[in-house]
Amino acid sequence: MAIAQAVETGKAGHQAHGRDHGHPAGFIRKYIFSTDHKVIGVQYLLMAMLMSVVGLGLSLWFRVQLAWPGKAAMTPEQYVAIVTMHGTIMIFFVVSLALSSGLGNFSIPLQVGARDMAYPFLNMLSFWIIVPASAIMILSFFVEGGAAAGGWTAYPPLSALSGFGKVPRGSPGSGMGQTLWLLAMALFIVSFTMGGLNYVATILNLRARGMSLMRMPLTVWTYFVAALLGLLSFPALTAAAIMLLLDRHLGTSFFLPSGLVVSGQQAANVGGTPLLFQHLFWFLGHPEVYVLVLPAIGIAFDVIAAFSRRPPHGYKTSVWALLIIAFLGMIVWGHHMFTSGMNPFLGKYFSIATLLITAPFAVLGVNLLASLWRARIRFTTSMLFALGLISAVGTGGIGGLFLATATADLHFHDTYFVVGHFHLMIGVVTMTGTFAGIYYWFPKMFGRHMNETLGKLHFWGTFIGAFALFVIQHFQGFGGMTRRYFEYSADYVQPALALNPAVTWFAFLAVGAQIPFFFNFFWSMFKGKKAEANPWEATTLEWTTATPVPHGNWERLPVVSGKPYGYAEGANGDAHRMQNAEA
Amino acid sequence: MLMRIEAWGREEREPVELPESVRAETWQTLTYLMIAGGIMLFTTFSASYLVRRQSADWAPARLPDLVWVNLAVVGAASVTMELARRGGASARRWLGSTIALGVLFVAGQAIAWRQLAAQGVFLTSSPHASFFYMLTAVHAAHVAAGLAVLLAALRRAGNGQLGLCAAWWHFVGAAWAWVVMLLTFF
Ligand code: HEM
Ligand SMILES: [Cu+2]
Repeated sequence: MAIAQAVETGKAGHQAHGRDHGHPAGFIRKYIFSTDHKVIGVQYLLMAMLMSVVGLGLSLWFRVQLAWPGKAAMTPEQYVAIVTMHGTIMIFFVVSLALSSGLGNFSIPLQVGARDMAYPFLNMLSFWIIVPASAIMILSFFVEGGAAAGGWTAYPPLSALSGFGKVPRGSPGSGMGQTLWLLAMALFIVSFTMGGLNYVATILNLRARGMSLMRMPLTVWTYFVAALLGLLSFPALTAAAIMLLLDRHLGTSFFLPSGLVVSGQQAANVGGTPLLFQHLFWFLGHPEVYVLVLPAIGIAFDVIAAFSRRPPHGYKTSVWALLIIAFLGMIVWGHHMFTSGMNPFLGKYFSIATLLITAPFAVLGVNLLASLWRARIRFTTSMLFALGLISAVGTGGIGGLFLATATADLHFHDTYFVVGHFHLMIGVVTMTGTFAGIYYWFPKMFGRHMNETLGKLHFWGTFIGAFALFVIQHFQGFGGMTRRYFEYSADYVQPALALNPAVTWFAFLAVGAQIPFFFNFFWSMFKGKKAEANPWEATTLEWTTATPVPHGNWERLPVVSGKPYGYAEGANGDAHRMQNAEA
Repeated sequence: MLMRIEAWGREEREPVELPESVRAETWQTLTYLMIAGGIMLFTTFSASYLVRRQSADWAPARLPDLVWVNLAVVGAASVTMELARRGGASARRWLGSTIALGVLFVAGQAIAWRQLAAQGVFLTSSPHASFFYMLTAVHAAHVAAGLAVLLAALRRAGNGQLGLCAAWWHFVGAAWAWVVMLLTFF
């Protein structure tokens, strides 16, 4: 595969632009329907921030119900709908948008030395498909029956019982709300798939001259692996969604089990296997969590390198670990279904395969940690978030070991132990990675620094709040507190319930800590301290271009001459060597 | 913020043109990824089929013989596609024949639907029938995508991208062969 993008052509392209210099490009094409990956990246970030207000707000609402039952003004049906929408919005419309789409769009072309994504127009389309998807998701709260209430996993039978035609109605939310949920998710899949195609094509084909695969920053590696994983696993959910829609609206029987009676009404389209849906969902679902978590880890590698002034420990082993994680990640989905009934040998297999994954994960964790060994660390906000990520990877991973053991999982499944585990991973790891990236690249995005004091406030509030809240949830799971319950009555669970007010207070702390972040983000855009082109003295390509970044990213495309992390490679120990430095 | 991003937009925001050779590579990446995704999609459906057929209510219907004719049509379309790809004076004619065969295939599938419906076998008649209708529809969507690409190639006279069109087209043909086998023999 020839990789180099001709420098000459880049220059020619630039001159072509220069021709129209001075013409005020239309506002709409510049900021709204822009094909520039940097603008699109920022658009995704803003969209994610908007959706996070909804998603986090929902979580505080049901946390009030859990801590002080009856005080939150909601019915049990509304409770499950709110939980469902919280999960869906946070995973697909906050973390995916901010981390995968937002920071990915901004950083990939800049880090590989390309002028834009391989398909800028497709890229713009990806974003503009997300806008109606988000709107539909939110509007589904206001249709008859309210929003979907079948969990973010949308398991049938509940999610299939639409109440349309001869299909009985499962719950208020399984009517129109679930249909809109599926529609929004379908749009999301289309957009995310197009985004993934763009990422892979950009990374494979548009790298600057000299940027061999093993010279790519780890951030790029993680986006690359994540995009491939997504492209190979989303089709499973697509197929499942098609069959679910047919069951819901046209009366087929892919997923509805025989003998199904819903509020006295015998369902007609039965004989199917709900378990099948679980397999298909998790065939996507498990890789999807890696799609989200890997780029967060990649960003942490870059950030830690820059602020510890050392190349990340074990670059090659990290790349191999990534590839092994990706491969194993596709064949462990069954660990979400230990209690759903499966052949014990199959359960054993899924158990062992899942435990195997912790090995490459541990490699990544150890490499992150070892990167800090004897380093002169600069404790910027970005660095703090990256350090927070390491500890969340460790803590969440330990929970994973318990869950991967089928015999233990029989107890833990569907308790708050699982909720605590996956929030540490898919919530804290991803968001600390995202914030590390935002504080790191903000000067490149907007030419100004974010405020460090507010940043540290943001970090400590988020870190303490989130850690306390999710670690306590593990213990509530030990105590038998099941998830997705509106109210609890059993005696044995009372001690676990007693922790609920504390959990809710920590949730308020963690969410409240985002207020200084929001303020900081918008305030710093206009009023932040002016930033130079390479304020962190980092060595990857995005820091070799001017700030603000010109359209087309570089006057002349960079030519890569060495490894991405040229820290402490200069004559006087503390110097650094840019990736495009003359040899 | 607009002021900050201003510099990104200081010049006319034309998308940056890539050199021909690089563009060819990105198309290649895109095509192979889409084929990989398509294979995953049909694999998922096939796995679902094999799971669903173990239920008590499984009763496969006999498919209209026409589906075999359609298989021959799509096979022939693959041959003409190859001839078009080889280039030469009659390349465009072969490309046109491929498109015609593709349209014929879709029409044939539609007739097969009507034949089955005439026998009283509808989408919800049996799980086997559900799979038949669903898979033919999903497959037709992939054929339609192929036809759109081929039409675009036909309009742009003489180009080097026919190899990728052919790759997709063969994938679509193979997918149909696989689906017929699955629905008939499993
Ligand atoms: C050290 C590696 C890990 C292991 C061994 C592991 C293991 C498991 C197991 C066995 C479950 C199923 C528990 C149950 O439902 O009873 C689970 C749930 C989950 N894990 Fe992990 N996990 C690991 C890392 C991760 C990572 C990195 C993420 C996300 C980025 C993640 C996200 C999730 C999610 C979202 C769920 C549950 C979703 C739900 O039921 O709604 N896990 N994990
Ligand atoms: Cu999993």
